[in-house]
Amino acid sequence: MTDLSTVETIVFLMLENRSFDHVLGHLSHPSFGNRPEVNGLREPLQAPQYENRFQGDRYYPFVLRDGLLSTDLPHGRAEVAQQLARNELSGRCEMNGFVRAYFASAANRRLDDTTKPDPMGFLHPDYLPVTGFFADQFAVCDQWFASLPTSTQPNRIMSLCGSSRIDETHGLFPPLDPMVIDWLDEHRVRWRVYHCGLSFFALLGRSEIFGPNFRGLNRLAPDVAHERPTDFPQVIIVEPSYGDAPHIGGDLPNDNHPPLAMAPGEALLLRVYQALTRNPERWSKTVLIVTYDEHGGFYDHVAPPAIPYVPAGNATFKVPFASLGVRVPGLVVSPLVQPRTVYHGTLDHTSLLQLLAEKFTPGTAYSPRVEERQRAGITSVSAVLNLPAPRTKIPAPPDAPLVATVTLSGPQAAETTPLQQAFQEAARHMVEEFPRQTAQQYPEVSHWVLTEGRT
Amino acid sequence: MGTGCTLALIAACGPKIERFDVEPLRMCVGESVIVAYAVRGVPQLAVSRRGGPPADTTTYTLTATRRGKVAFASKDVIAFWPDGGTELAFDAQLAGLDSIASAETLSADRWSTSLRLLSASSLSGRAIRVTHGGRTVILPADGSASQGVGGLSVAGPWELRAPILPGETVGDSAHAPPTALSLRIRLCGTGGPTT
Repeated sequence: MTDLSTVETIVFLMLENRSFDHVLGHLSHPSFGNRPEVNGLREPLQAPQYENRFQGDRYYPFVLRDGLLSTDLPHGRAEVAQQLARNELSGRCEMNGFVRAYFASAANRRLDDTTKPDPMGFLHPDYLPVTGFFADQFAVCDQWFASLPTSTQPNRIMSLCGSSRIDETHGLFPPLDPMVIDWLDEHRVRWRVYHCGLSFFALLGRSEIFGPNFRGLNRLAPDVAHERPTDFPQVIIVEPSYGDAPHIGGDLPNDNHPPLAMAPGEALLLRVYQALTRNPERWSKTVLIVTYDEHGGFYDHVAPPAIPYVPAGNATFKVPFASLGVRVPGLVVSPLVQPRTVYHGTLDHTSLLQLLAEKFTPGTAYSPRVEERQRAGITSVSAVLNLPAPRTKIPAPPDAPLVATVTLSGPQAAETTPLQQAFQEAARHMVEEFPRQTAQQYPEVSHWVLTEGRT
Repeated sequence: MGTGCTLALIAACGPKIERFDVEPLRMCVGESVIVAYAVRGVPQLAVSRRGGPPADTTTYTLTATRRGKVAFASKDVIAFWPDGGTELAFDAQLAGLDSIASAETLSADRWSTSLRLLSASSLSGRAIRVTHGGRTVILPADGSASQGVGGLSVAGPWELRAPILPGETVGDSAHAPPTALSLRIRLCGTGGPTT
């Protein structure tokens, strides 16, 4: 266990819509990572515990090359329930409804009746050089679950509030409990958001996106290298460029949201690591946490723990969640962890909030809701840190070129998703209400809004 | 839209597969499939076949190319050789106090209506009562084949029911009854009655 007084900077980066087995399942497979201590996929892949069934056919995990997928995969609340496939016979989630949910959703488009449907694909490590580097040199968390078995907004909000008043992606300005940036302000903790494109906070109606605490990612490296310790943030949130947000010019999404490829996300991870390690002194006291908001419809073989989430009285939904969501990749990248660490404790997105409370308000829980989850068995990210003093050598990241098999258009659905719609509405709202600030700080958003009528 | 695309229009100008249908997806060797597609861009259809008795798999991959970008989709067609066999697996749920049951309709889009059953047997280590095509047959627990379904099309509704065996406990993950019921079927025979 690491004394948290040795930690000065906590960095949090949440990517989009990939399951643990899809991204890191290869680690335990004898043909790839060959690390049996990781709870990933093993031979034989055509085993009953991995079997999904649909229309009489059986489906199993297979190696998938990175690239444009045929469609986004289903991952709303009802679809995730179908994927988890709770069965009264066994009294547990069978994790065998991923193909059924996929075909039920994709059937209308009739594009993908294949014996190797996308949800069952797991990525070959060649396509994950930076994720693989992190897993090899730092810590893999193989029991990190999405907080809720549903889609993006409730899960991201759980990471930012420790609670959610919505159970489905809501759109613009969803109802919220106090957010982590409020908590940090209240406890006089310096924080900053570095964003690649339009910030998720824009959807939440936070005017801070125009303030000094929000900066483009290009500022991260110089800030790490040169900013005074009294000004440098103690908590950093790095935001990718979201695939669901409007894009214009050279701003390509790098959040790994299907149907887009992983390569831009790998490039983002490399960029963040290189920025943070530019200042070895600062790096020695830094913890970078990388995870995904939810599984995005991809298969995972581990049933989530039956830790319920009961909505509060001010929530917009009444039916509780019976369990956590599907397992997602979790990586803790820090000189305060031994290489090839595998942490098996249960984590979810509120594990970050536990860490913040331990660090900045020791002895006091982050919030009653987060404490409730802690009592139910969700551990803190601090439990992953296992060195009393930082490693002095900074591992060199891979220098092999990232393989990008990206196309800009594919057979994805033509209709706009609720989250895409929310981002677009947020962009229009920013330009209407804050035209000058938007033009200065988010010129690409102004450009998109000004040109959308002509495209 | 003019001839030149701005950067913002690249996505709209890219290739897109609007429709890609291959039917049927399960059939007898020698049968024809119908491929229908609509794309934005230049289409190319690639066909690759692999396998051999008891079944071949043919993958149809449709590629659309436009302005240097590529979109693709693929479908697999399984063709059973005469007397070829395959397995059907169905999700099972608790049915009453002492049984497990499955119900699923195999679509005619996926399973050619000309694909006929020769026989069926239980792969679940227990007797299974099968109702399909207007007939009800009992498949013995020892896995021996029953011709009671002979001549029926695979497509259509299937209902399966099987007992919970001694030693199995509902809700006990270590000793739970199976959450799937599976059959072995032989296909494409010419004998037997047809419906």
